[in-house]
Amino acid sequence: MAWIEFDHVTKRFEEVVAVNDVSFSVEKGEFFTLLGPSGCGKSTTLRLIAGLEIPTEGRVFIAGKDVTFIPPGQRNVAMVFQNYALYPHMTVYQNIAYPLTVRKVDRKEIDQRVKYVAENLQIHSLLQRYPMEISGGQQQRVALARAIIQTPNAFLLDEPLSNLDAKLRIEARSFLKHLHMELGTTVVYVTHDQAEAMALSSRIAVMDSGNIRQIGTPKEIYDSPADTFVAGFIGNPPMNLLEVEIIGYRVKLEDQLLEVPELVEKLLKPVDGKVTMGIRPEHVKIADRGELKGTVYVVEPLGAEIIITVKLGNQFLKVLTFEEMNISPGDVIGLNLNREKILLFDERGIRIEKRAE
Amino acid sequence: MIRKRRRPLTALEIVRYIVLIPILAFFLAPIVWLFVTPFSSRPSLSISLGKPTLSNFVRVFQNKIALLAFRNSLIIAVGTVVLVTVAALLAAYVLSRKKFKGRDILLYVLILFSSVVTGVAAMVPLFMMNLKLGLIDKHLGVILTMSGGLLPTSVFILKDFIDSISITYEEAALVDGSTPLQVMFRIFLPLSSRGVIVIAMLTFVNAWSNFLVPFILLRSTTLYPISIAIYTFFTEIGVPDIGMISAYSLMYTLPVIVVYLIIEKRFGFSFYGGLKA
Amino acid sequence: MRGSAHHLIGKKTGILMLLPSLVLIGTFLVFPAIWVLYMGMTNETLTGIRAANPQFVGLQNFVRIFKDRFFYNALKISLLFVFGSAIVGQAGLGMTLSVITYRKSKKFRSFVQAVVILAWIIPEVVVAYLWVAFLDKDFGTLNNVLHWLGFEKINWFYDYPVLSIILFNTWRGTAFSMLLFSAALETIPPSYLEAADVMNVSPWRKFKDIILPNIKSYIFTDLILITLWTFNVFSPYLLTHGGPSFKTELLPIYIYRNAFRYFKIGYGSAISAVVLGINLALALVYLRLSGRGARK
Repeated sequence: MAWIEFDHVTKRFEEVVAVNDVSFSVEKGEFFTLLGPSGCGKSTTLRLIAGLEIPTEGRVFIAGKDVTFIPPGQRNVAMVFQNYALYPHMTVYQNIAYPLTVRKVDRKEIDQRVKYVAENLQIHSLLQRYPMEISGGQQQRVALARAIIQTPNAFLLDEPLSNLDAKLRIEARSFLKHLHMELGTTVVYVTHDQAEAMALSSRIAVMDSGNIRQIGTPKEIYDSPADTFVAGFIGNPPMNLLEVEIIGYRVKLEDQLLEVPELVEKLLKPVDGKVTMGIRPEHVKIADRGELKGTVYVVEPLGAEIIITVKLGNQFLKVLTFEEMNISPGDVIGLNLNREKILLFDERGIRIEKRAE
Repeated sequence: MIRKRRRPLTALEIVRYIVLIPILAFFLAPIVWLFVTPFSSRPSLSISLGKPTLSNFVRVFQNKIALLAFRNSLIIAVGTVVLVTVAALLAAYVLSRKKFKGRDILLYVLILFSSVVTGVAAMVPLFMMNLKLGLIDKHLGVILTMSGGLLPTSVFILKDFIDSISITYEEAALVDGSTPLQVMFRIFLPLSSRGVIVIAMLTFVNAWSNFLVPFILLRSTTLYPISIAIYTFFTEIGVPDIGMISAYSLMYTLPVIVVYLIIEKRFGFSFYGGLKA
Repeated sequence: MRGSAHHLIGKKTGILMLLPSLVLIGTFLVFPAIWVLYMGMTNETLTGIRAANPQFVGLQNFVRIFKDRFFYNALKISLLFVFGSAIVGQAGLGMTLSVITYRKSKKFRSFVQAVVILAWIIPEVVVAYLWVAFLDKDFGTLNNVLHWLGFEKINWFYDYPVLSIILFNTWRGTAFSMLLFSAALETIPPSYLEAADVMNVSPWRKFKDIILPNIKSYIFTDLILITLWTFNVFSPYLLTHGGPSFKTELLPIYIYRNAFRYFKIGYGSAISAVVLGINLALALVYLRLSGRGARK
């Protein structure tokens, strides 16, 4: 049995369905991320694991035990909150020690463990300070220390990086990943930041309005998004989604035609008519004699890479390139799409499967 | 040395002071008497200090009714503070943290009644209520009656205060393995202490200063709080001891001023107009 | 949407925690307010033969109220009192003070406010005594000042009884309006007035065109609240006992005289019910104005 398991869990708040018949399982030692926009139900899902909410329907298992109705303190999970929830009236030391203090662990042992964890997280010099007196990055580490000291079944992290400024966030992200490798404890991680999810996770569950849209490794989610929602949520800039029409072996994009016989042949079901075509910006190349013609709309140089937005009729296509180019808005340029990477989505937005090679 | 350059007064500022000074004089004039007469060797209704003396205060301590009233005022004020603070905290916690049907209506009704049922008009049924409950001429009756009046606003203010404390502290403590009681005593109470202290202090000031409730509900001289004692002193037949009354009044007023100074200094003069009955 | 409190307090515990407050408020606030309506329909007294078993007399008391010239006297004085001391006095002075101290240094404002607040927080009975001394004919500070300025001494409580209690209550209650208006002024973004400064707008136009429209709702709120409170104020009794010859007998004092001097509980209850009814109307307007319903 999986380490953490959700079995058809639904959570309703009065009329609002926050989590809708969700099932998934997390393996021991995994870094599992719940990713989605705000209000998608990811935080509620995490709170259901913690026991801060009780499911309206369905069951929750942790370490093989049905914990659906077990109160949070007895699930042996540790949680880091978005605002860290460091008790303002306690010192850093008392905060870290708190989970052990309330469980009546021997004082000497507490002292040892607090010092060990603090040393490990490089916050040992702050132990006598109060949360208000230390920086945001330090507060975040204290919150982690308070979680780590419990040697729990799982760490539940609720957007732990979102209160840090951009530079610190990248640093803390690497640190988190390193920490997970070192400790090997199962992590369930909630974030709305797809880059964070990609960088950290063993697997990602993408959520939207209470439903899981897709579960998979970062690569699976990136390369073969299950639907247009996932496709449009992952990647920066995200995947281009263009309205096209399939006519025989050709794709009609605005008033241009693209021959795509290999693509159409590989599709598991015959497609005719209007679909959505997805292509990642890095899979579009600018070429003098490109098969598509477009007008440059905006050029955004970002240092290492350049994002070029191209107008094709009434639709926009973003191109990501690492080559220096002498292009300015208004130029008409040619584009080539990497056929292998083109995805098609049906009228409901679901990806149309391709036959395996 | 940098000297701040002063602009000459504009016409508008002159008008400002012409308006302000008489107003301030109006507000200060009646109060000066309270701070001068207690130390006066020739106390009278006019402001005159003469030779400063403490003999007026000495006479307060020689007056049995005055001393007894001090004790009575303390009993009433402390009793009301304990009752209101504890009851309001319990209720405010539930009202802040639990969503249940009719909660908003309940709060609405409470606040409505607390603003409507006030003054002498309220004292008529309250007197009868105390009479039926056998609480006339008892401190308990005064305490319960004042508590009923002060509770709605106290509950309301505390609820607002608790709303402002993030519930994640309690949640974190739960996940960390605390029992509900541990959450309450180790986490919630320390976090809410500021609000509780404000409520306790405001309740104290209200109960301490209240005149009408004991005036209607108490009969025996030995049970009178200070407010009623002072009233009987200056309406008594014969020549009132102005020096003693003024000294007594000053002693009675000082705790109130101290409490407001503390609130002002530590919390800013929070705008809790409703609680000042 | 968060609801983890179910682990901290269950339904039963929640009800138990609400209970002390609800019982106290129910017994000493809500029930009496309703009971007074019933008592107003009896001829209950505390002395005499009817004290033992009061009888139900229907609306008789209410009819009597509207024939009682003392009621009309009290109503008239109360209205005058509310208009003079609350609306003109407290709100007027409060507005003046808050505008005078607006955008001035914190020290200056704190000082002015402290003086006015002091009058507001001193216990009722002490305040009454201070004004007995202040307005005393022979020794009072006010007459001493007038005498020093060359005016005749005035027997305030005897010759100007209503003016005396209006001055007294203005002095007593201005702090509330001043604080409310000051808080209201703080809500106006400074850029509004700075924009006007740049356009060289006159002080009066700034007040009329920018300040007033922006604090209108606060002014309404203030007027309703101070009307409600002033309407129920009992302190003037400590100054004048309603006299001379009923000239300062406000409605609360009229109730006090009937219920607690003459022990006519039934009749006193009926008047109380009328006053509580007026309070209710004012409070409903206030709660409606303050918008958010259950919020203060």
